Parts: sequence; C-alpha cells; structure tokens
Amino acid sequence: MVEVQRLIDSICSIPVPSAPSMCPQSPDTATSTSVKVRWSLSADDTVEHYQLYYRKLGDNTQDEGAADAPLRVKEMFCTVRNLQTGSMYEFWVTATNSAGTSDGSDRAVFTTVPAAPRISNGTVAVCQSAVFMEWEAGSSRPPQSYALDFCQVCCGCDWTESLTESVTGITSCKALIELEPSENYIFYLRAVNGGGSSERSAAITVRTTGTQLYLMEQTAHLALSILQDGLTIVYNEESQLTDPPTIHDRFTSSATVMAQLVPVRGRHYWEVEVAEDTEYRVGIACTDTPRDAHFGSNITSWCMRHILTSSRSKFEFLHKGLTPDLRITITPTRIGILLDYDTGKLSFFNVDICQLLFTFSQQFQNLVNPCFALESYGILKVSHNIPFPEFTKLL
Amino acid sequence: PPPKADTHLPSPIPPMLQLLRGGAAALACLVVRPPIVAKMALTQLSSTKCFGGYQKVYEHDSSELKCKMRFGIYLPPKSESAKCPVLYWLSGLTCTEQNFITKASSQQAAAEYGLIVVVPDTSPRGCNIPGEDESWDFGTGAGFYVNASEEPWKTNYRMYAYVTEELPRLVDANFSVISGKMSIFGHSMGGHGALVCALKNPGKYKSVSALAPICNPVMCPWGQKAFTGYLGPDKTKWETYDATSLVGSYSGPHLDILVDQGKDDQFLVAGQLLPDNFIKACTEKKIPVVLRLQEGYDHSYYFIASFIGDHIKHHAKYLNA
Repeated sequence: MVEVQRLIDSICSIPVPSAPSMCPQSPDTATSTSVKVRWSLSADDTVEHYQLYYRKLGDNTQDEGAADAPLRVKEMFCTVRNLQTGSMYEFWVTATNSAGTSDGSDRAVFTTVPAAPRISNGTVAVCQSAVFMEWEAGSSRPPQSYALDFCQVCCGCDWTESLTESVTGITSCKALIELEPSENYIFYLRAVNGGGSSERSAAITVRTTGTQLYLMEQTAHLALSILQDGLTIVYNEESQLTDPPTIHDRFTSSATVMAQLVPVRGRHYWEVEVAEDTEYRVGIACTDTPRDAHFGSNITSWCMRHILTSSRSKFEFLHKGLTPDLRITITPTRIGILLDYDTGKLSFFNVDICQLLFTFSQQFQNLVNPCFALESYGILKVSHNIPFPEFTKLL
Repeated sequence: PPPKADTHLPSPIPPMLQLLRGGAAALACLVVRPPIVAKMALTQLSSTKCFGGYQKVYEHDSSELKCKMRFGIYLPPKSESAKCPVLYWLSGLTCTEQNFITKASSQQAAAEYGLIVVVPDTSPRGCNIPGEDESWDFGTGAGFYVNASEEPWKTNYRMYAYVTEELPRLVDANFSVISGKMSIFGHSMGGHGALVCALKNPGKYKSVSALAPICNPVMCPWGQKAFTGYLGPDKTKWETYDATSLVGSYSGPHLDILVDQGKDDQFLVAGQLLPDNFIKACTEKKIPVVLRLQEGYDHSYYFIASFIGDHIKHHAKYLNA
C-alpha cells in the first residue's frame, strides 16, 4: 500500500519554480513615492505566490538599508508605495509553490522621481527680452537635470497644453531664457532623474514689461537686514555673529548689498525710495567688485551718494573715488536709475519731478549688478517691474 | 494774400517784373500787399546750409526798439516738412547775433532734435543815444533784457518786450513753428535774461537753462551799473529783473532748470555771477535746479560749446514731449 501511495505522490508532484526575471523599469510608471515593478517567469512553472524584496540604495554603502520584510504578491507585478522621493531601490523576487521557493531573481534598480522642486519669485530676474531664475537643488540625492515648461499668456484666452515650450536638460540650478517684450508668461520647473520627471513646481508668473531684480542676500553686509518683501533694506546694529570665513561674497567694509539683474545687455530701470535724511549710495558695480572697498571708490563701481552736512544735503556721483561738483536744490525721495548698455550710460533721476540729476557715460564691457548701501541708520526700499518712464526715453 | 509762413522768402521783386508775370492778379496783389508786408518785413541777409538744415540771419524794423534789428535763426532739416518747436538763445555782454551761431556749435544738436534756434542781438544799435558806446558793459551790446524806464534809454532799450513779445510774434508768423512750444536759454547776461523771462512768465516757456548766468544782478557790479542806468535808483524795480529775487515770488508750473558754471571763470571769482545765491533761493522755494560746476572751464564760447549739447537735449525733452 505504501508503494502505491508513493507512486501516486510521484505522478502528482511539481518542481520548485525557477527564478523569475525582473523587468526593467518602464518610463512613466514611477511617482515620487512609488514604483511599479514587474517580473516574468519561464513558461511552465506553477507558482502559488511571489515574494518581493527591496532595499534602498544610498550614496555610501553605510546608507544602504537592509531589505524590509518581503511583500507577498499573487500577480506578476506590484506597485510598491511609501518610498522616499528621488531615491534608488534594489528589487528582487522569488517564486513559491508547494514544492518550495525558487532562487532569487536578478536584482533590478528602480528609481522614484524627485519631489517637485521649490522655486519662488524671490530669485527671478526679468527684463524686456529675457528671464533669469535660480533655485535650490533638491536636499537628498540631487536630480540629474531640470526642465522648465513655459507658455505665453494672453488675456482672455485659455492656456492649452499644446502651446507650451520646454527647455530640458538643465544641469545647473539656474536658467536664462529669451522672451518677447511686453508679454505675460507662466513658468513651471520640474526635476528629472532616471525614474522620470517630478510634478511641476508652483507657477512663476513673468511679465516682460520692465525690469525685475532680486537682492542677493549672501552679499549683504552684516549690518544690513532684508525684510520679508525681499526689497526693503534696513541698517541695523552690526550683527554679533561672526561670518564663516568661507563666504567670499559678502561686503565687509561698507553696508552694501548687491542685486541680480537678468545677465543680458540692453536697458534696465529700477527705483529706490528714501527719506530726505537717509544717507545712502545707490548705483551699480561689476559682479566681482572688491567686497572690502567702499562702493564708488574704485574702477568697478559707480554710484550716487547722499550725505548730510551741518548746513545742507550733499550729493556726489562717485566713480574711482571722484565726483563732479554739483548743487541739487530738491532732495529726491524717489530715485530712478537707468542702465543702458547700448549707449553706455548710467543715469539717475528725481522721479517725482522727472528731473535728470546726473549721467555717467561709460561703455560697460562687463555685465554689472545694481548695488545699494546705507551709510547710517536708515531704510532703502527698492521698486521694480516699472515700465520705462517717459523721461528716460530721450536718453 | 501775404506770403505763407515759409522758410524761403524771396527778395523784393521789382514791380515791372511782377506786371509782366501776372497781369490782373499781380496788380491786385500789389495793391493789397504793401501794408502787411511792411509790418512783417523780414530781410534775409544770409543763408548757409549746416547739418542738413539752414543757418540764416534776418533783419527787420523793430517796433519795440525803434531801430533795425538782426537775429540768427537755425532751421533744422525737419522744418522742411513739419512744424518745429522754438528755442530762444540770449547772448552775453558785447555779443551780436553772430557769436553764438558761429562759435557755439549748436546746429548739430538742434538738427538732431528738430529744434528751431533763434538768436537775437543783445541791444538796439545805431540809436544815437549819447553814451551808448562808452562802456562794453552798459549801452550797446549790453541791453540786460530789461524795459528801461529812465531817459535817455527808455525809448529804445526795451529788450525784455522785444524778446518776450515782438520777436516770438515775428517768428511765429514767418516760420514753420509749433505755436506755444518754446523754451529759452542763454549765457552770462543772456543767462540772466533767460532766467528772468522764464520766472516772469510762468507757463510761457516749456523749459529754461543757463550757462554762467548773472544770477543776482542787484548784488553784483555789472547789474548795479546797468540797473542804475536803465531803471533808476528804485531797488524794487531792480528786483523785478533779478532771477534770485524773482524765485522768491515765483508761482507757476513746475520748472526744471539746468545751469552750467565754469570753475575757472574769472567773473565767478570776481563776484559777478553769484550762483550760490540763486541755489539758496531755489532750495528754499523748492524750485528744481541742477547746477554743475565744471572743473577747468572759463567764461568763453569754448565753455559754451562744450555743454551746449546737454542743454539742447534738456530742452528737447520738454519741447518734443
């Protein structure tokens, strides 16, 4: 009887499955927290269930996690969730039936897409012919590249997907894009890695009607604070914190901060609001102007300076430390600054009375940046996105 | 009908030729024309092409000054096809209508910005007034742009009325100008004249500027000499022709005044010009002025030529708006 049982058993037995094969990651199947994993089998195997193993890969082997407990899966695919964004995971799978469990499959790497990048209007510069934007790299594993989607927006028409332009393969965290003057645009930023593209960032609206600039906080002298609006500069008590010596960008001897314009030539215009008793210097400087010098004292900077003497307001227009001798009867409270690379002129205006105060004539060989400095307690408020006023047109 | 406002006035044609040409129509014109022509009679003395336009000099009988007067007028290329605004230049002591048009190099900028530039003489001439040629800073060539109230000057020395009324009427009627678009500038005594004309006529001039002006004549030797002679001893009359005094009582449309002053100007050093007084008054009264003190420059036409472009551009901003 035992022999018959043994014979029946041998006719009904099945082999242990062979190891499955992982399929490579398909495009557009990953999100920032999940991947869709598939595998295949040799033809004839009978399988009851699969066991899917995975572990996170890190930059160093110390970061690599041990495999979590396997997922028990009936199908030949699985969407694995709750993963970290922009990360690589190693997957392998085994097949099990009544006879036993197969060897593990080969290991395949799957990547979750990056998180949508963060970008704000606070680091976007605009002029009539282009936009320049900077953003921070992703915190964890940096993506391979970035892409910018943008489209011209006309009033009253619906924006359709098909009219979008994209700039892809951006490897640094900044982009300069040529645009048409006097138009509205919307920009979205995406991060891209081996797993695909992230979701779009928040929208950035851009209007090429005037100049938009932004203050570069990393250049600000420690005595200056920049308020939340990103445009108001306040002279404070000198900060007690010592600056780490590795930051080379910061102004050290005069309370100055530098701003970023779109790095293209052409015409740029911005305004500064001051009080009648504010002592300030406003103007431009070459990007690499020495940070330990006073703004206007060298060959790489040009500025308008206002100080109060015991008897009157004194105005200077400084370059290489020299100024013409001028008398200005009305102290401006709103100063317009026009930078014209084409004609080689830097002009200063009293905006409220449309009065030209002074013009530097200088062929600017290199690109320059707006600078703002305070000589004593006071506040400067920068205004931008102003269409070129009539009184700048003749120059 | 009288000749249309035109840049090219013909010289008077002999009546015989007119009859041969025209017949009845010409006869009718001959009868109708003379009174009107005599009133507006301008004689072109010269015309020279310059930067695509024409530098011309005209002569006419002045009703204010009761003598023949000359003026220079630059007609830019644009004036051939369109009406243009007018910029009046007033010259300084000893000048005629010639100095500015030959030495200041103003024609290039005037052509570029499409401005007509009119340059009167600085005083009536040949009036046979006793003493008129005795000094270079009083009488001939030194009209100081006032209407004299004292004998023997009051009949002829009415340069203020000539510059602000008679000459603009003459220019408007005979040249292709945009009515009501005029500005004024000048040098030294002419700078004084420009500032005074603008301050006494709010809204009449779209802009005003000056090079090395006599800013405060009641306080300087030149002004005291001239005003004593033309206006008599009453200092309140003097103040009505003094820019620094006039600022104190100015009320009118917003001004935007550009002044250039050479730092090496001998007359600045001699206390004839007194720009600081003018600046002080304008600061108190909140009149917008930019005064540029120019290192190394003197009182001459070399100084004027160096900065005339900036001044013409300053006026173009307002005249072409």
